[in-house]
Amino acid sequence: MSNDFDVLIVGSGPAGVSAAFPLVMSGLKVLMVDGGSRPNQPPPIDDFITWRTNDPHQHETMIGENFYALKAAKGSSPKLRVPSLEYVFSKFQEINQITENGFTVLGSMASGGLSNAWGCGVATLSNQELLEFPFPSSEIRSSYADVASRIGISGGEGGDLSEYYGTDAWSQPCLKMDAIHESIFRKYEHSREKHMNLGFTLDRPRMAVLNQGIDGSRSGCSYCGNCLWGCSRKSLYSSVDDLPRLMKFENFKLHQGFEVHDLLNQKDGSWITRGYCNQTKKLSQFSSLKLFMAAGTISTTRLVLKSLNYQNSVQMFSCPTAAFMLWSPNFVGHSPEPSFGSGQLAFKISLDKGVNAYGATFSTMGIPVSELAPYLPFSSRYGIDFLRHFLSSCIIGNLFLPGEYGIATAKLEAGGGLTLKGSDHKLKYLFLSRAEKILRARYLKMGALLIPRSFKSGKQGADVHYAGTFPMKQEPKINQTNSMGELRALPGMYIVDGASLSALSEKPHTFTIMANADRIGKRVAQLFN
Amino acid sequence: MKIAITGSTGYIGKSLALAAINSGYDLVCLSRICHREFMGEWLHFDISSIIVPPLPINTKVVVHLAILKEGGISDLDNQEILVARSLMAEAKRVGAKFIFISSQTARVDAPTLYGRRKWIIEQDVISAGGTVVRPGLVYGGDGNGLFGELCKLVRRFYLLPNFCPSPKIQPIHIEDLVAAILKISNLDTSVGKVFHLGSVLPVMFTDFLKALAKNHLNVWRVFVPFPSMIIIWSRPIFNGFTSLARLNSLFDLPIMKTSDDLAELDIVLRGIDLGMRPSINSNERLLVQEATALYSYVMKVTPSSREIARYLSAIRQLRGGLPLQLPIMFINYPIMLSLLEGHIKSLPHSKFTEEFQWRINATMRIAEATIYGAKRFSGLGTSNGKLKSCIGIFLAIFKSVIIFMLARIFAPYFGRILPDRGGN
Repeated sequence: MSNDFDVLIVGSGPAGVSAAFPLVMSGLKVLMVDGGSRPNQPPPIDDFITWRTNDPHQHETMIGENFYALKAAKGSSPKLRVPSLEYVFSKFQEINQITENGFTVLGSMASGGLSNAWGCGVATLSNQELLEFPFPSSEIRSSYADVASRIGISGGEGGDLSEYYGTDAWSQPCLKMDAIHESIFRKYEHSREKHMNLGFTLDRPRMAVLNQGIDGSRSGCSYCGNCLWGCSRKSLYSSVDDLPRLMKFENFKLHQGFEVHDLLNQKDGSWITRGYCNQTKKLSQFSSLKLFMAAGTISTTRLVLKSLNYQNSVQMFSCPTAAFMLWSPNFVGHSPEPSFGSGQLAFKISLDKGVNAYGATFSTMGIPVSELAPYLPFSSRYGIDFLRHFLSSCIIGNLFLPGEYGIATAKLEAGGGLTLKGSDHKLKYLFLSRAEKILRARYLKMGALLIPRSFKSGKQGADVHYAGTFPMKQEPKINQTNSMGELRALPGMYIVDGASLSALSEKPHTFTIMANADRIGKRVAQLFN
Repeated sequence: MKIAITGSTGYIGKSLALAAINSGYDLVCLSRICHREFMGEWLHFDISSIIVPPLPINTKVVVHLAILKEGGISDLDNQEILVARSLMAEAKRVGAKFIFISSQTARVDAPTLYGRRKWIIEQDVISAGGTVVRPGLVYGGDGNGLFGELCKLVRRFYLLPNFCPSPKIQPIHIEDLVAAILKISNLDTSVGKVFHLGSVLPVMFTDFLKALAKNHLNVWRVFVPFPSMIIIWSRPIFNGFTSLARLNSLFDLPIMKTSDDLAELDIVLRGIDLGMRPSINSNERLLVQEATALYSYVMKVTPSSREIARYLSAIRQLRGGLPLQLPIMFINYPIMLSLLEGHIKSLPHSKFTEEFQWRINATMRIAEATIYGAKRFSGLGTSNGKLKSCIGIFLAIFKSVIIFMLARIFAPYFGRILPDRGGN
């Protein structure tokens, strides 16, 4: 029987796109399918301060015509209340029949997936960390380089975390910091040895954000402060911006608006992918020799478990997270300035032998004050008065522990849905408490106070740092994959997204997912040749 | 579109202002007193004074409803006419359409001073290219005006006159009238036109009173035959603009041909049996009060009609359109909501506390997403400096501490007046 395609890729997020390039460039006939949701409103053109102070229709950007911003539950990420990001998150839980049990699930049916709404942090795994993975580290290093040159990264100017990130060879210069971050970083550099000896290291974060434009289609960051509301310059990488480049290849087809229902392994080893086409409103199917699963950890897990008819729970790595706020008294009365909205400084904290926490700090510019006011012990009227004068001298931070300190499982239900369950590792709060103490002490020396009671543990899953339901292993068991992300029971299906990561460190993991997908794409392309 | 309404605190004016807000108009209220309920811009306007305030330059429509309450005194006979002319001139200056709400009684030889005065103003309006609306007997809602007087009479007296022969009236429900006025404000073809708005087929006044008693007030009344001639003969006894004088005018009403004008506006009037049922827009009024109170509390300024409309729309779409039923002290003194917030955090969870907190948060989000909100919430567009910010931080903390202590004192009182006390 002849197949429609050599390879079918489920998902157009960072993993799917990264796997697609080597496959397509080797001449293979590739079909990519995705949920197809597209933006329903354009991002702001003017910088944040200009449109906030001049646009009489800004409620459309901040609230949405149907009051989208008022619908998401309190305590969830501010991204869930941005109307221009509604298309990223909508319908995911419903289509994947998700049940949450102590675990917050965020996923995307959009073209480009969650890379339309990510923080853009990038990092490579060290050789030590790569020992957990069943392939030589050199194999993924070339993929890191290829992916970096395609997506564009910035931030690499040496620094104390240069080796920790491992990306400087491919990196554009750092973005500018705002005045508060500049001040903190100067004070850190003044006594960096002391900080590092006490387990705290600070540096510029490495980001998939352009400082200088590439390709003519994406521009360098202009510090407009619109990062949360949409980047009109495409400075922040989203894999949707790589789709036009893929579509220039005649052997590449993109089928958007296709919801995958079933994956059927044929006797000859080929695959049938069945699903619902939103355009024709009909069920349809495609056949391919090979299948790449890049639908994101949650969707891939559900579809693969369904294909395996595996009724037991599978474990998942899930990074415990926390958020906090720092106040820099010297900056009281400081006028708000447009600045980059994602991480401006990043830190690593040594908590124990071999156990690190990682995090970054952000400007408060660009975040609605209404997000923060309900958390203050003030009534709203005076809370607003307080924040109006106080917030411009504050920065906010987040923190991640390694994924092995979050306990999470996924289980296929009888109707084909997926239940995600989370609980606390016994060491989680010990490490978070230790991290809080170190942050408080170190930032005090740098002129910033960790605001009392602002350090809060995040809900499990809410920051989408989870992976490894089908980890790659040297000798994989029934629900583990080989070095190509292949399950023994499902040959010819390659899991190339976060579901196949062998370990999940505290570092940002998307860049590693992309490099792994590129690596597997190259190896499968070699198989065909 | 910006709409200025004189007499916005009166029977028709209040309903028109509410309907304008709900339809997304920017409202300018011209009245003697700044009314708490409908916020937008307020301009002091007293019809007993010849002075007309300057209208905002982007006013598109002026609806003139205000009348002198007391009967004419000879040297004030022309007062309303002169004021109407001044208002028309001001409307012309800003390029606004002028709509004069007249009366079915308006005639050159009307039996009442009210009717004759209306006619004179109508002529000025038509010749200046404005629009005249002649409504029939306006009824419905909960207001004053002639309908309010009739309600009082029907409530008070068990025996009511069944006039023989019964005068015929052409009633129009107040909501139908304000909808028609807003449609006229959008028409390009209303220059120099007189719109006659009332029921196409006249209704016997006695039937009208019977429907009022049965459907509106839910009372049973006995109607006793009463010769209409007695009322006609006793006309000279009632002078000026008392309500009974206007009742008198019902006996000499010209029948209006209304079908063409209603068709042009694409309006179908509700029948009196349906129209007499108790007002269903009381929820709307409560929501407008709630929106004004919450917004004033959060923002320290009164909201524009657009901001009120946005809040109403959010509540309709997301919370079923039901008002919170805040006790009246919080409507009249929104700053007291700070005590309520302080107290609510210590209360057990209930539907009211959950809903109250949701609505405060929703108000904050809606208010922040404005140009003034950028200044209020984030100080954008202003520069404070270190000293001013330190003072601002200190004052906010100081006030919060005071509120915290006062909330403890007022806690038992709030416990009695809140809609539900702890149960779900």
